[in-house]
Amino acid sequence: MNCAYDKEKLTGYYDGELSAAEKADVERHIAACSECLRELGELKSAALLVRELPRLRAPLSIAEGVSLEIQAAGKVHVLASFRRKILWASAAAAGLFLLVNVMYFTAAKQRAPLASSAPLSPAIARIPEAQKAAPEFAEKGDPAALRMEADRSLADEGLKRRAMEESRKDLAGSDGKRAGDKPGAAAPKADALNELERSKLAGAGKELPARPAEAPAAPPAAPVPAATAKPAAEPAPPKMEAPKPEPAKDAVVEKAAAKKESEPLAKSNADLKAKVASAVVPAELPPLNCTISSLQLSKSRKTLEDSLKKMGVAAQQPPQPMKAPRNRDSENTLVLEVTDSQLAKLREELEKPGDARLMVTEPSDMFMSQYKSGGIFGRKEPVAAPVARSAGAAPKDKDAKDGEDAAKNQAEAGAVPEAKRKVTLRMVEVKTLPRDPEELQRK
Amino acid sequence: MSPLDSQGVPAGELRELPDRELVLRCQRNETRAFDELVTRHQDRVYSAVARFCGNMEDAADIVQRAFINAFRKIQEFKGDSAFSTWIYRIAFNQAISFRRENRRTTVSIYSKDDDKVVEPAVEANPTEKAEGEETQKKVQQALEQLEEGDRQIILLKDLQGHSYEEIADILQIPKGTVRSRLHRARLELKSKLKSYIGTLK
Repeated sequence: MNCAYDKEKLTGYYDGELSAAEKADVERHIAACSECLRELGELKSAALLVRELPRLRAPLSIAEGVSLEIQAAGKVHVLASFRRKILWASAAAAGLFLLVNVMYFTAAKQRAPLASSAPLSPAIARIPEAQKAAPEFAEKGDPAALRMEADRSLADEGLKRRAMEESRKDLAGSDGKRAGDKPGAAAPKADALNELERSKLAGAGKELPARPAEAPAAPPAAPVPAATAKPAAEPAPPKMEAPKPEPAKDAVVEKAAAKKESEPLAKSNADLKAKVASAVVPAELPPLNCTISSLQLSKSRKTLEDSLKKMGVAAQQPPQPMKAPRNRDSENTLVLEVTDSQLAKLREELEKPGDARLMVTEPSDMFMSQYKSGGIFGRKEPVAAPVARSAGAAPKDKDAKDGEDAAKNQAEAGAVPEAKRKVTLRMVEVKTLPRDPEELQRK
Repeated sequence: MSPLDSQGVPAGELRELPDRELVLRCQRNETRAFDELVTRHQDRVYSAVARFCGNMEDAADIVQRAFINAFRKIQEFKGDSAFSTWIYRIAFNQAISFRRENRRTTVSIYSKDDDKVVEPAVEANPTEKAEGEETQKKVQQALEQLEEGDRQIILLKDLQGHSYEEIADILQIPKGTVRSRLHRARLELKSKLKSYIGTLK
């Protein structure tokens, strides 16, 4: 045990894990060192004892157990992958569902700002102007386009009425300069006679000829293209050529001119207005599609029938083909010939009980569908301001006041018979009543 | 035409494939390839673990768990080392954990039937056989008295015949350390078997 040789090399030497140089070194050393030679022999003996131990055969249970475990894991793997696929499919379906909802509500929101961007007309009589201004949109039933055109036309309408009011004030005073400046003032008597002739012709059902002294006015029902609609900031006089208030306005202007220029023809304003009013037959207004949304359709239908009877308005159902299948939409549709004031009154009667609403829209409108179905999530409140305008919504803005004043003045000026229009009323039972855009904005 | 197994692989084909190819097939979820790996390595691993534990039942349990763990981790096997060294490492780690968790009396592997023994197949007369069994029993007892690290390294080198490099890979130690630890373990074993070593001389 006195040899200081690195005896680990003896182990390496026995195991054959030494380099050639180390091996030679060990061989040289053990040739001279009996102690290291003896230790090498003992290490070899110990290793041999272990090497001679019998190897054991693994029991079959090992392979069987492993195989069973692997098969179970494989099944779990298959189940896990199946479950993963199911999860992915569910996630995809949920994503698609959300996407559809987002698109649906985004579309509704895009319409909502348009509905609230411009003040809506208070009177139902104004709505047809929108359809007149853009009949192509009205026919297609596109409420957004209809609304935009309607707002533009309504702005023009306010200016027209303001202009009429101003001219009426001028004429009511003694100052005749303004009336004399007008082209028709050069021959007032002749104009007044022409007016009477025109009214006679109109009474005979003939088309009114345009007066030579004035710029030719467009036919009352002629559509005004959206591109040519005047902006609200333009001065009022060009608006005097607008078709609808033409007969009354002309009558007032010419009558005033006649009073100023010629004493025999200077009758009272009221007399002439009455003549003109009785002579002028208003042109028929464009048709209107309205929807009555009701919580109790049968009750609202009865209210409607009573109101119509009270007003003396005959209602018809639209003709149906002989072999057509039973169509409940047709049964719940009425076609009326009413004036706008009658329609406004009808709306008032219908909405009085609080379970119905008359709106200028169609049941097929997406806006209405959310009330019919209760919304895509069954919600009871609309998600956005409705696109359709309320037939009777009365925003208290300047234009509206102007419109009311103009209407009042017009009523004072003379009772012009109101034009009738064909109104198609569709009755729809809803789960919740549609709300006014203004009401939603207040919320 | 060779018969096909349940996965459509010819039965004899897997036996001819090297471990690396079988591992790749396992990683492609071909479980039959892993069965082949088990068949190929189970005896050697079991033998080493049984000598290490000194209990055949525990060894069977440990080896089974080791193979199952290997299958579960087969996707993590990068092939940097041989599958055999990897499964030895898993099996020894499993055995160490098992012994720490289940401190129970060991049942000697010599209390079991001889049909579990694979080698040596040398025919011996009854006297020699009895002497041999006695020696083996003493050697096993001496092994069980060694520290776990010393026992592992002696079994891997002298029972399994692994090279220093393989042992370093299995035990995750430097190759130089293998030699020193092996030398120390052999000296320790020699001291425990001094009487037998003297007779061998």
